[in-house]
Parts: sequence; C-alpha cells; structure tokens
Amino acid sequence: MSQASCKIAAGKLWWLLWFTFFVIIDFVLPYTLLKDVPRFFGAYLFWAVITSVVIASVMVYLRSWRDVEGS
Amino acid sequence: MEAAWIYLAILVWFAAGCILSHFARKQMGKGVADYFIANRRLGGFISSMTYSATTYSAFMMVGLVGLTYTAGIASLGFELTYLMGTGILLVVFAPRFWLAGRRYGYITPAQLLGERYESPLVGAVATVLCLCMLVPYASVQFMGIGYLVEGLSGGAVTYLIGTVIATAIAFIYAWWAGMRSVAWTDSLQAVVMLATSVFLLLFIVFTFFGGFGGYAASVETAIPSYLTVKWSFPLFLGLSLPWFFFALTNPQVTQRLFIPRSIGSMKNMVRGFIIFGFIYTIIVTLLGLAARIMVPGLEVADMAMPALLGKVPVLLALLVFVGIVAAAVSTLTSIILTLSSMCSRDIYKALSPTSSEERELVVGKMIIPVMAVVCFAFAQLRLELIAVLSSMASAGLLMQLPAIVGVFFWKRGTAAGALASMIAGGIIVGGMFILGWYPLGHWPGIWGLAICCILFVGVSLLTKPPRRAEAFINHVNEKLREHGM
Repeated sequence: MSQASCKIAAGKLWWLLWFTFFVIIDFVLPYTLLKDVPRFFGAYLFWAVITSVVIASVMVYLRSWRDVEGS
Repeated sequence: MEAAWIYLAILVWFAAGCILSHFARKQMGKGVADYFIANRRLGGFISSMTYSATTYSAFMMVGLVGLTYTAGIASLGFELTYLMGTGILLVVFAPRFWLAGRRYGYITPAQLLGERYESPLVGAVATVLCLCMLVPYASVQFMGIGYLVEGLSGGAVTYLIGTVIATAIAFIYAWWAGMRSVAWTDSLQAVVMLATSVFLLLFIVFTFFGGFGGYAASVETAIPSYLTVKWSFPLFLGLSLPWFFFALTNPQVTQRLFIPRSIGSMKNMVRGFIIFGFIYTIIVTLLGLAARIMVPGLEVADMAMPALLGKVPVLLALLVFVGIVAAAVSTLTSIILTLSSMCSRDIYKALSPTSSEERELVVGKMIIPVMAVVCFAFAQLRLELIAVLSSMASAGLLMQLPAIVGVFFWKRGTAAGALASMIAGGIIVGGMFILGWYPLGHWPGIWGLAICCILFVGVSLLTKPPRRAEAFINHVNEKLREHGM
C-alpha cells in the first residue's frame, strides 16, 4: 500500500472511531446517567447536542468531496 | 372545523402541486431512466427536498407527536438516533450508490443487488420483501390523513373520504411525470411541512406559554416525568435500530441516491437533508410535549395533533393540516413510484429480459394505480398505532442490510447468502410481529438482523462468489479516491 493510501485509510479509521463513539453514547448515557433527570438539560439536551455534533462532523467530512472533470 | 374549509385547503394545495407537475412533465424526456430517476439530472436543492419529504411523512406530525404525547422524550432520542444514523450512512454509502448507478446504469436499488450478486432472483426477492413491508408503511400515510381529517372536521369528512382524496392525489403526482414530478412537488411539500410546523410551534409557545422560557418551565413543572426516558431499553433499541439503517434499507430513499446530477449536488442533498431533519424533529417533539399539557387525557395518542389544532385559529390549523397532508402525500408518491419501478425493472424485466424499454415503462406506469389502490385498501384495516406499524415495516426492510453492505464491502458475499438472509429474515420478522413474540423482551428486528447476518455470512462462505465482484468493488473504490471521498 502506498503512503498516500495509508494516510487515507488512517483518516477513515479515525472518522469511523469518531462516529462510533457518538453512536455508543447515544444509546448508553440516556439510559444510565440521564435516565431520571426531569429537566430539559437532561436527556433532551444531550440528544440534541450530540446530534448537532454529528451533523457538524458530517459537514466537515463532506468538504473533501469534489467533482472531477470528465469523470 | 367546517368540512368546506378542509376541502378548500386541499384544493388550493393540490392545484399548486398540479402546476409543478405540469411543468415537470414538459421537461420530461423519454425512457425508463428519465421517468423513474429523472435521468440522474436533479440539482442539490431539489434532491435534498425530495429526500427530506420522502423520509419525513405523516408519521412525524401525527405519529411522533402521538409518541411524545404518551412516552415523552424517548421519542426524541429515537428520532434523532435515526437522523444521526442517516447522516453517517449517507457519507459512507451515498457516493457508492451514486458512482455504481452511473457506471452500471442502475434504476432501482434491487437492480443493484441483483446485478452485483449476478442473480436476477436476488433483485426479485428484494422487491417482494419491499412490497410486503412498504405497503403497510404506505398505508400508514393514508391512515395519518384519514385520522386527521376525521378529527379536524369532527367526523364531517370521514376517514374513508380523506383516504380516497389522498389516493387520487398521490396517483396523479406520481403518474403524471414520474420522478421529476414527484421531486418537484416534494420540494414544495417539504417547504410547506417545515414552514407550517414552525408557525404552529411559535403560535403555541407564545400564545399559551408566554414564550420559550414559560414553555420550558411549564413542561418541567406540569409533566416532569415526560422529560425522563420512559421507554425500556429493549423497546428503545427495537424501535431505533431499524430506523438507524432506514437510509440503506428503504428503496424509496436509496433510489434517490441515484438522482443528483453531480458530486456537488449530492453534497447539498446530504447537507440539506440533515439540517431539515434536525429542525423538524425538534419542532415535532416540542409540539408533542405541548399537546400533553394542553389536551391531556386523550385515549388515542394519534389524535393528539388533531386535538392540538382544535386550540388554534382556523387559518393556522388549515395551514398545518395542509403541511401534514403534504408530508403524507410526498412519502406516498415516492413509495408508489419506487415500488412501481422495482416491479417493472426487477420482476417484469427479469422475467422477460428481451422486452423493450417502452414496454417496461408501460408496465411500470400501469403498476402505479395498482399500488395506490392496494395501499388504500390496506389503510382501511386501521391496524394499531401508526408508529408501531412504521417500525414493523422498517424491521422487515432491515433484513436486506447484510446483502446491501456486502455489495460494497465484501467480495465474498454471494447470491445464495443474500437470498437466504432476506427470505429467512423477512419470514422471521413478519412472523414474530404477527405472533407478538419478543424473546427476552427484544423486538423482532433485533433477532431477525442477528439471524440474517449469520445466514448471509455462513451461506456465502459455503457457496461460490460472483465472478465480477472484485471488479465492481475496485471500480467503486477507485472512483471514490478520485473524488476525494
């Protein structure tokens, strides 16, 4: 594998770990720490914030996509 | 609300959609690709709006409001988990579908499965599975409209009349100019859906609660338990998991991954959709909590939105009503059109490979009214809660997941593996839902997915892999690198 390919693969792995982290806490935290917090700043805010972070991450991920002339 | 107002509102909205449909037809070319996927020529805004309107249906303003009304914010977690999953899946799979579609000329997601696994039977089985699961899901849209008109008019406009009107409109939008018409009317409908829900939320919050501060304080003091997570974990997982993979397993949305005209358009499609989805979800769940305070004690949760609309001025209620009908019809038209394209491409064309493109198109167009009537008839059964029915459909469609992932990531996956996983998974999930069987408290989708993953891998390893799998995956990967993906 070339150095450039290794760099791309490492970048993808990083993204995979990043997104996986958010998916796991999306299921775990509201059912542990936040389950019985009767406030908007409990599970409600948590879900809203981590979804916002994932959306922002998707926006960053999309920046490298480009059209290629004649492709 | 008087029946005349309801008819007038539908008429005005329908006329606007017809105008768009008419102009869409003027731009329509010839052939199957033009009719069913707009010749892969749609821009980013239209693509994002049709993706949003197809995804978000009457389930949101009727079903999700009802779920929040009964279960509190667990419904928010469920819907945002779906959105998060869709965002992640789209960045991984949208370019793969798009590139493969361009290279091999795919019209439907089932065609992709059939050709990649080198077996038309795989495409046909995927189509049958989608038909079995999407007909109940489409009928949910009719049910949403039916309940809504009945509730709003106090019974003057019956459930039956509401669903008949929805059937006629969905048929006309889908049949008149295919995907282009559906995408354009979807765009109008997406804007209407979002705008009307924003107006409703602002009106309710400022009129009945004195602003967002008052709203938050009221919810925290009047119904604090609704801000805790009330669902059991198996229920949350059972509902959320199928929806997490919705973007891959529902053909009416995966077919939309073929339609953007460029990478730039696809980027805008993804961006537009996730922003739309986030705003819409937050609004809908806030409305559900407001309904809990304003109209407590309803026996049928799906009547929460109609009851809420009874508290606002007629004009606003009418606007929101149109927004909900738009949401339902946009999802319906997309499902009907996609299922028709799958029947003609993956069943008719597979059985009759020498038939001409013109003939295939005629068959596809003939299936559109059949699909509309079948979904309408199913809706007359009025089965259970809207949300549960939607989740059953998603769980059934989830059984395609191993085969779809294998298309792009596993050269060793075979047609036999794909067939075994989809057939066994579909039967298991359908049977468990019908029998109400939830072993260890977990939902059918969880068990079905586990079994179909094992079957896909096991049977694939025991059978001969497709000859051109490596070339397919290498081509897609090479193009991904070229486009910086």
